[in-house]
Amino acid sequence: MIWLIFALLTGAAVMAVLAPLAMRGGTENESAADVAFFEQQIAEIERERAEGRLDAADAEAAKTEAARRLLRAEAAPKSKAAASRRLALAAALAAIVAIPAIALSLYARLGHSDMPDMPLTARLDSAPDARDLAGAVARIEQHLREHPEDGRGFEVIAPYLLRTGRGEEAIHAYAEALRLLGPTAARHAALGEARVVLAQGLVGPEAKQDFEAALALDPSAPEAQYYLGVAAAQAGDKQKAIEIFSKMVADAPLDAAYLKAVNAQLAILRGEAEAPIAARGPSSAQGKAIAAMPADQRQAMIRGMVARLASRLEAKGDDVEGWLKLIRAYSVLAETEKAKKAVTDARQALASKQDDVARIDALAKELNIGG
Amino acid sequence: MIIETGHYALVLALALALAQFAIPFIGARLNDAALMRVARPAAITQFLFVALSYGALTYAHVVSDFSLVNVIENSHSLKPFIYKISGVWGNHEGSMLLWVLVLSLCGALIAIFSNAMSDRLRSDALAMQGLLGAAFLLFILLTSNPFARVAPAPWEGRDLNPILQDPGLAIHPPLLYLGYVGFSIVFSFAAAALIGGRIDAAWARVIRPWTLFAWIALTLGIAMGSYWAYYTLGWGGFWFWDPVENASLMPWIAGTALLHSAAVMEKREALKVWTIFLSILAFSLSLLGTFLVRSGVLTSVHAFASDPDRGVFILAILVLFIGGALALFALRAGALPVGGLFSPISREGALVLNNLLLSACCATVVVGTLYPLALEALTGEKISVGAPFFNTVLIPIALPLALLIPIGQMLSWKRGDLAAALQRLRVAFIVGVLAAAAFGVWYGTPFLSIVTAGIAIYLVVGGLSDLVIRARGRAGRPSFKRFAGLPLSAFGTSIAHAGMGLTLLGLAATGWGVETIVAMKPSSFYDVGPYHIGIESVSPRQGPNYSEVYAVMAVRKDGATLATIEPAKRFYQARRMSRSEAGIVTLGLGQVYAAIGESHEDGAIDARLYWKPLVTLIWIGALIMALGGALSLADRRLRIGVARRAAAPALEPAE
Repeated sequence: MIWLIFALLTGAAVMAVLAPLAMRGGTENESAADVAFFEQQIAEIERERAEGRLDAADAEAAKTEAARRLLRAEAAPKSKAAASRRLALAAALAAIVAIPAIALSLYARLGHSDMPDMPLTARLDSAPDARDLAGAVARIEQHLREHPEDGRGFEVIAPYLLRTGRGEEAIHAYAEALRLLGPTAARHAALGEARVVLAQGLVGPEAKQDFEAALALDPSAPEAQYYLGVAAAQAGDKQKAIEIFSKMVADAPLDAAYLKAVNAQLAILRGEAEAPIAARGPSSAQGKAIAAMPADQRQAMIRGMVARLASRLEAKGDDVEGWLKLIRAYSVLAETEKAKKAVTDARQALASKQDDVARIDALAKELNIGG
Repeated sequence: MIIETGHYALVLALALALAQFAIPFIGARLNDAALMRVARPAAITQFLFVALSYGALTYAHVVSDFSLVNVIENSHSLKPFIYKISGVWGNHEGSMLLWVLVLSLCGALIAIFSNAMSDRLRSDALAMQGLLGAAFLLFILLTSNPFARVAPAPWEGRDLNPILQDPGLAIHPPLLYLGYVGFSIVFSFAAAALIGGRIDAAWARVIRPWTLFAWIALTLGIAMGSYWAYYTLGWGGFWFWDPVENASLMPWIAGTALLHSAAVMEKREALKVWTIFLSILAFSLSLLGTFLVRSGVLTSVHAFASDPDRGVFILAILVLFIGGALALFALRAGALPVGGLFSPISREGALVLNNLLLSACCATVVVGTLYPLALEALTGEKISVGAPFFNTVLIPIALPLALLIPIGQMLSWKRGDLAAALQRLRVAFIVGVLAAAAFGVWYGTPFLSIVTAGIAIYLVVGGLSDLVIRARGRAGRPSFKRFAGLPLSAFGTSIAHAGMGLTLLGLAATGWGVETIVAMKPSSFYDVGPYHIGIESVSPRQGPNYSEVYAVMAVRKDGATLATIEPAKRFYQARRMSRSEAGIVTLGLGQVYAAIGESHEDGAIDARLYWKPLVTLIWIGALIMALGGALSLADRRLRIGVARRAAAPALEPAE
């Protein structure tokens, strides 16, 4: 079918060349166009005079000039262009061979005649492939746009959204699931956890409310307890944090998966373990929370942080430390293009400070990104 | 199937473009009528194929076909419909396809509207157009194919760069391309005249409307682009002397010069060789602009390409066409007939002076744009040439040019009378000086703004008084009948020059603008020029593919609220990018402009507030210039320049 269309198009292209070649007859001689032009000009002068825009003397002068040129054009040697059948035949043959040859050989290299169109709506309506998680999520999202009252759908895709770095949409989905399906401890805790992820590990007031609501429904909910412990530690209330974590350890079944994380928190709070170096200072809790996350979640979160840093620098670019951090981050995430762009942006933003630009250049050289 | 059909149509268009070049070109050399006849249908069919291809790509964007790399990288299923369509040209591949679409459209237009010329001129012009088309089609297919596909197709795209998600994008590039590529028509005709070694009588008549058409589109495109930059980039500037902006300004200046020299050539058969040179120059500068933007030589919002292959390819195209045309010019220009003679004080003389000054402006912009690039390439040193350089060099050229415009308009062809021309301009002089004094009293310094504003008013009055003087005729009394009977092109000239004056006034007024950067606290008011601005609320809001924080601000004067504006800061999820949305209200001819930044914990928000008096005149003037151009374009009469005999009383400038 598609090759039939290609054949028709090729035919049309070839015909566009063949049809004029097949016509007979020569053309007027070259100066004919000039003669016609000066005749028009003289007629125009006449009309202008008749309309009163030119006075008689001016019209006469202009007409004399045009008439002189007209005579010169008429006196020019008349070389009519003939049409040679032999040449036309040669050109026709060349067109018949060359146009399809060029088109087909190039298309064979570049084209994908076997690939159908894939409009998104048609793909969403077609039978799903069980292995294609992204496709399934896209279908659910599409479904949710049409049926925004389907809480189950929100509950299903929320964790996926959180994992793929779409934190705000994940929070929205968790909140919708909570609203539509009714409150449970797990839903409250999940919403709070999503907020914590998006806030780079900080347990903010909203998240805290979520966890407290979860505990109100189920006083033993482990995620809620854990994050409230983290919140206490972040607020500097070491005593309360240790209390919460100790109680969790005491109540937990021996094989509970979260015990490891809780014990690690306890160790840090009691000063038995050092906070990771990268997470020193005010962001220590944050660093730990990141380190404790599953790998893909951690990755998404780091990307979120980097994006925030980037947008901050975009708004206020005179921070050389920030730029250096951003460039390093992109290079660690293997986003070479972005790293290069950051280098150029940094150079622009810091253009007035030679020393800072030199530092950026040195780093770019070290990381081998030209920028 | 639609997509692959579009892809194949593009390949076929390349084959046809080659035929459109080779067959008529050979035909013109051998003087064979049948071969030359191929040019017209080939050009029209080539356009239809490119249009089919462009339509297929648009379809892919509209239905979010994520099997195309181009759609994945620049679209998102939730993107508003209009941006799905404008997103087609909001990226490198698509914008090149649009470029070629416009190029082939120009070819088709030549083919349709070219009855009044010799076959050889038409064939050579269309052959050139075919060669240009073939070069760019090859460039697209080999380095920037918009129809590249992937399997398996992802389920979501990466969205269009947020800065480009704006109605401005829907209009700015197509207009700009019509302008850039419109000059290709003039270029092809110039090359055809040089190849054929003769200039048809109708040559200038053919050139002028196409030049006007391209110039109008470019004027509107540049104005649109500058307004777009003004309201999206969030710091209230409308022109940054960014190399990409300069890339559009260079052909505009060359085109303006060309417009005037083509007028001389059509009416007086003078300046033929110079007109041909400008025709080559205008398009060469368009190509240079395309090279600068598309090769990734520059890093800027506009340069989405950063592939060295592309740069080298475009450079090769550039060298082939500009170098080829200039070499042709060097070889053939001497053989072309020289046109009519004129005295230095005459309309022709004034237009030559205009051309010289415009060329100087153009050279300034070219140097200012290319010098930093050359320096970086040779020594690795990065410098930026910005407003200080351009202002210092351009203002001393542009202001005298503005002074000369009405004088040139008042001179008659071939031999003019300078004293009489100045005499006729005395009203304009007086009004200009009074206006400068009034502006000085009202707004105060800077001095440059006062002088420029005075010249601008003189330009407006001088431009329009030409019409009044003509309506007066020799009888000395203005008559409405004479006024209404004036040719459209006379209105066009006067209106375009007055538009230039308005733009100049808007530019002059930038010196009187007021700017404050403050952390705005709720319920307190901040002074900006004659107005007070206060925040009423700051709240978040969800858009289709972004979330934003917006502030509602009240603009007050003398205790009365005149308007509320809503500057916002938007965050686009898919690209994790933010952009600011300025809050603008037009009061009189000026604008209050506000952009917001970070919020503070105490409820204050960083904001930039501006009062820009008369700023809208910059763009209104450009619109009026384009209107003048359109009036002139609508006037299809043959232009006749009547030479005055020395003895005749030179009271009336002749059209």
